[in-house]
Amino acid sequence: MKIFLTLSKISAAVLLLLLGACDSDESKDTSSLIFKFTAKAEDELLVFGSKKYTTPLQQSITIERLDFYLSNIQIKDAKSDTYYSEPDSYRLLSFDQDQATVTFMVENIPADFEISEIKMAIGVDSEANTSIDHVGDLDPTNGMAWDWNTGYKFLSLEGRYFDGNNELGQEIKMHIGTDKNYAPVSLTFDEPFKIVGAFTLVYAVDALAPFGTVDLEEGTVFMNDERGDQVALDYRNHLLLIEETFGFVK
Amino acid sequence: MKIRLLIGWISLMLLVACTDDTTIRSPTPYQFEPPILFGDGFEIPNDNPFTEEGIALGRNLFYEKMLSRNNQISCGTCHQQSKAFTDGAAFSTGLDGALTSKSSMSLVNLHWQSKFFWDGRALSLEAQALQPIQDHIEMDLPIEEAVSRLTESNTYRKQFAAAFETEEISGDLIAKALSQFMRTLVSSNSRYDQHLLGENVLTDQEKLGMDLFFTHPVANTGLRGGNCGDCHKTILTSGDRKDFLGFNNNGLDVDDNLEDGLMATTGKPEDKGKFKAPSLRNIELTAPYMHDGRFATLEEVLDHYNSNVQTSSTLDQQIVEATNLPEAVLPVKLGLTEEEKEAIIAFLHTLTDETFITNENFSDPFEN
Repeated sequence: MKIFLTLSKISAAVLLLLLGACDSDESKDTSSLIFKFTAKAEDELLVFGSKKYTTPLQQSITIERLDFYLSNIQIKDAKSDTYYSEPDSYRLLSFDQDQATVTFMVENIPADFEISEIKMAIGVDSEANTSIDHVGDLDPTNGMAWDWNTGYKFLSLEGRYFDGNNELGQEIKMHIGTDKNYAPVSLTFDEPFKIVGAFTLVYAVDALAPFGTVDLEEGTVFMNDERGDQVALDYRNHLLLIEETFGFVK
Repeated sequence: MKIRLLIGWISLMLLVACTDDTTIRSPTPYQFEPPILFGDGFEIPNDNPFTEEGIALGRNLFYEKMLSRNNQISCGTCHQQSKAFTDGAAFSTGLDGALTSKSSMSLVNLHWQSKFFWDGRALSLEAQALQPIQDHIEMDLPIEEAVSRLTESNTYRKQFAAAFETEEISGDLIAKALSQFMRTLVSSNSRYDQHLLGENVLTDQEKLGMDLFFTHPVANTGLRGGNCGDCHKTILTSGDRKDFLGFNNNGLDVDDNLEDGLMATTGKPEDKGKFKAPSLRNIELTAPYMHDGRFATLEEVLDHYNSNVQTSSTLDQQIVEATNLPEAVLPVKLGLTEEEKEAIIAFLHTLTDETFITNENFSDPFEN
C-alpha cells in the first residue's frame, strides 16, 4: 500500500513537471489569432465543379478550384503604434471540392497588444517573388510558380465557361501574378481589442470576385497581360470580406 | 524485499528490450533529403515509410524477372536507367512480344507527382506498382503467383522480414517496396539545376530557350514565348499535382480520332483526349515522345506545338489562346522562329542529369 502511495505521489510530481513544461514562459507573453477563410459565391458556400454560377456580365461558369497567396500579415497595436509582423509570412490558401474552408493561426503576437489594424496582401511581394529561398508556402512544386524570373501566380482559378454553343464548356484559367498585381489589404477596427482565448477572424472568399468585369467571350485564359491585370483589379478589394469576429473582449 | 526484486527484474527486462540483441530488429529509417530547389512539399505515406531495407528490397524487385509469367522481363526492362527509365520505343514490348498501347513513362521525381499512368488511373505509386506485373500484355503474372514465387525464395523471405518485420509476403508489401525504391529516383543535378544554384553553366542560347520555355506569349505586347511552362511547370517540368490539373489535350488529334485518355479514369467527357503532362527531365534520353511515341525527335515535338496543333473540343485552352502572332487564329500557330525553336531544344538538353543515369543505387543489382 505504501508503495502505491509513493508511486502515485511520484506520478503526480511527474505530471506537474510535464504540465509545467507545456506552460512555457513565452505563452504568457504572447497570443495567437486564428484566421478562417471560407469559399463562397452569391453569399452561399461555394459548390465546386457541378454548380453553375452567373458572372456580373451574366455569363455561365463553374468553378473547380481556387488557390491564392496571402502574405506579409502584420498586426498593429493601438497603444504603441507598432506592428507585429509574422515571420516568413507566405501562405497558400487552396480551395476545392474537398476543402471549402482554410484555417491557420498566427502565433507569437504580443499578449498586451490592443489590435486596431490587420494588414496583409494578396500575392507575393517582389523580393520573395524571384528568390529561390522558398520560405513559408513558397514551394515551387506547389504548382503556383511560373519560373525564377517572373515568380509566382498570386491567384489561380480553374473552372469552365458555358457559352451556350458548347455543352462541354471551355476551360477557364486565371493565372494572375506579376509585381504590379500585388494587392495589400487592410482591415481596421474602430475599437481596438485584446486577444482573449481562441480569437477568430472569419473571412468570406468571394470566388466570383475575379470575374467582376471580364468578358469571357473574348477568351478564358488570363495571365500576364491586360486581361490578367483586369482580373487582379476586380479581385483586389472584393476577394476577401470579413464576415465575423468572435472570442474577443474589448 | 520481494517487491524490490521484482522491480529490479522489470528494470532489467526494460533495459534488455532497448538493446540490439533482441531477435526482431526494426528496419533502419532512411532519411530522405529533398533537393534544395525542390522544397519539401511532398508526402511519404504514413503506412509506407522509407527504410534502407525496404528500398533495397524494392530495387531487387524492380529488376526481378521472376515477376513476369515467363521469367523473362522485369520492371527494369521497360524502365532502363540509361534511358532515364524509359525503353526507347514508341510502345513497350510485353513478355510474349505483343506491344502495349502506351509509351513507357520516365520514372523520375515521383514524390512530387500525384496521379500515375498516362490516364491517371492510379492515385498513388503503391496503386500503380502492381498493375504492370498483372497486365496481360506486360508481365502477366497474377499477384498471388508473384507472392508464392517470392515466398519460395529464402533470400526474399529474409528481405521482406528485414524490411517489413514479417516473412508473410503479400501483394501489398511488394507494392510498398517497389514504391520505396521508385521514390528514390530523384533527378536534380542537371545543368538547369546548377544554373539555378548560381553556377555559370548555360550558354546564351540555352538561357534564351529557358525564358521562352517558361513564357506564355502575349502577342499584342510582343512578349514572346514557347508556352511550354504552362503545362510543364517550373523546377519539376511536370504537370500540376492538384486534382487532375496536370492532364492536358495538347492537340495531337481531331475530335474523331481522340483517344479517351483521362476520360477513361474520370468518366467526364471534358477529359477526353487529355494525357498526363510528363516531366521533361532527361527528355534528351526519353525519345520517342508523346503517350504513343509518335514523334521521334524534339524537333518534331516543337514543330507540332508551333504549327501542327489539331483543333478539338477539349483542346487545352492555354494552347488555344497562346500565340506570338497577333493575327493568328485556329488552327493554332504558335509562331516561333526557327532560332527560337532551336533555343528551346537547347534548353531541353540542359535537363539531362548524368548523375541520375549513372547512380549505382538505381542500377540492376543482378547484373554483376
